[in-house]
Amino acid sequence: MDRNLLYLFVAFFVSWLVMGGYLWSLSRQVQNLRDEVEALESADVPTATQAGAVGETRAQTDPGQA
Amino acid sequence: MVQRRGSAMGRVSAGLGVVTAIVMAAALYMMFIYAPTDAVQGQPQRIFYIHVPIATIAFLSSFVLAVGGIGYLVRRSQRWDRLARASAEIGLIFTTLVLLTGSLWGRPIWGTWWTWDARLTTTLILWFIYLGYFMLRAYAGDADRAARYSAVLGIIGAIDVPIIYLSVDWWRTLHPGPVLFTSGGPAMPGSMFVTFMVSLLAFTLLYVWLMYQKYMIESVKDRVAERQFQLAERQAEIREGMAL
Amino acid sequence: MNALGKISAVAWKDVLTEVRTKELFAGMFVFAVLTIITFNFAFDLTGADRAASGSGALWVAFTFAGMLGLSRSIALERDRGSLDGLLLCPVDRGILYLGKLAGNLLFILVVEVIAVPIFGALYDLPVYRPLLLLALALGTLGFASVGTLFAVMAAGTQAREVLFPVLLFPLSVPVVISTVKAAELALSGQSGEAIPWLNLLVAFDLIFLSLAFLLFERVVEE
Repeated sequence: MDRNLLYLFVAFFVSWLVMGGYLWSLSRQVQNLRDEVEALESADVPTATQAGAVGETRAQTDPGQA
Repeated sequence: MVQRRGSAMGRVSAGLGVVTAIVMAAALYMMFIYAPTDAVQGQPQRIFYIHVPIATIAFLSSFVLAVGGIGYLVRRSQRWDRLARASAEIGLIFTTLVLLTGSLWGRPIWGTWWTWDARLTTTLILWFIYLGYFMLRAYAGDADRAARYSAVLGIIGAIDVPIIYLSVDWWRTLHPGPVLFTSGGPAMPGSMFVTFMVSLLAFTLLYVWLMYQKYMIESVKDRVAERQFQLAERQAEIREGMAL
Repeated sequence: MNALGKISAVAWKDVLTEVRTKELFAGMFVFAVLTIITFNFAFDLTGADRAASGSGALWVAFTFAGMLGLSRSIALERDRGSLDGLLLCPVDRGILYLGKLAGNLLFILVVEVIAVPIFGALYDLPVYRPLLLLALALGTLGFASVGTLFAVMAAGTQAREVLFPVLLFPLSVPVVISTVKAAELALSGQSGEAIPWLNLLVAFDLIFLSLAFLLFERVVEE
């Protein structure tokens, strides 16, 4: 094969490889963000009720202690 | 990608992605099939069709980086910093590609991988400025300081690039002169010029699409970090409450 | 006190500190001379074309010594907490920048004043040419004006020693090229051709001095 064609091939191959790799890393970032958002949403709900529950129990027990 | 699929923003982003893919496919077809083989340079001349659009984006990114920096220093809004962050990342990748494709063109045509000519040297220095930008962000600590410091570097870098070019140009130059916009029309056959313009359009669309994606990712990242901080604070409050 | 008085007060503080602690100058000077001497082993600095390699060696020596001095002087200021003290002064931030720049510039220029004759004597080069000295002074001003800003920035991060050269070297490429070229032409007696390089240096100095003056405020606000 012509050596010149090899340079042409390598130049295009490397360029698309790098850009493809960047797209892949972007999609990974999106996936990670989705996971984090899900983790946040599932962590958010119980803590909110927990906080309410803790507040209520304190309200109930505190007067008794006093 | 980040936004919900049904939203208007998501549709625009997806549509832009599809258009980019179609134009890029057309550009690739034209580069290899439609455009004739260059009489002097032979096959490696086809690298030019991606090399020059990529170089345009690499230098455009340094300009957007400075705009984002000025915007942040004036407005103090994370939006401007996000623009700069997105631009720096895309700029670093495209600058790397300019250097690689340029070397792979230079080897068969000039007989050397590298020369210390004005455009090559300026591109290399630009690459180091992008690299310094990322190191600065990584070591700066808190978000506001990282944004301020990198804004300063981005502004100084963008102003320095033309000065670097001028100084290296006076020093020595070998890069082929302009072949596109010389007086009396482009110094290349019409089919090559059309191919180049389609390729430039394809890469510009790719740039806009990438910038949009990266900007959105950064904005969601900021919001997630904010929520995580709030959550950690609330959990600490609860723990305190339990301890009482 | 007028602006000039304030600038010289900040610079005078640096000079007094240096006279008492002697932490900067000796290190910078010895480093510069050692670099010049080391270049002798790397290149042939005794041949006929020594004006070209000699001017490069001289400027690299001053660049390294200047970097050492800039990074040290700001790092000391941060570590002692005296930078916070300075920032509390009811003085415009731009004035503080000019004061720090004047102090740093003074140290580097004193190193140069002693090292240039030594360089001339060691390599038998005619160093007492006004154009050469002008090129060195303008180059030092450009280098120190960007350097002072970046030294303050690098000192505010976790990796100051690494970050400072990484930020400063790429951006100071025009200074390196034009100073070395002007110095080379002055040393080899082609003074007329050195003028465009000196013009470029002046333009660079003006642009970066005003940029750093304006941006310094944004770097030190915390």
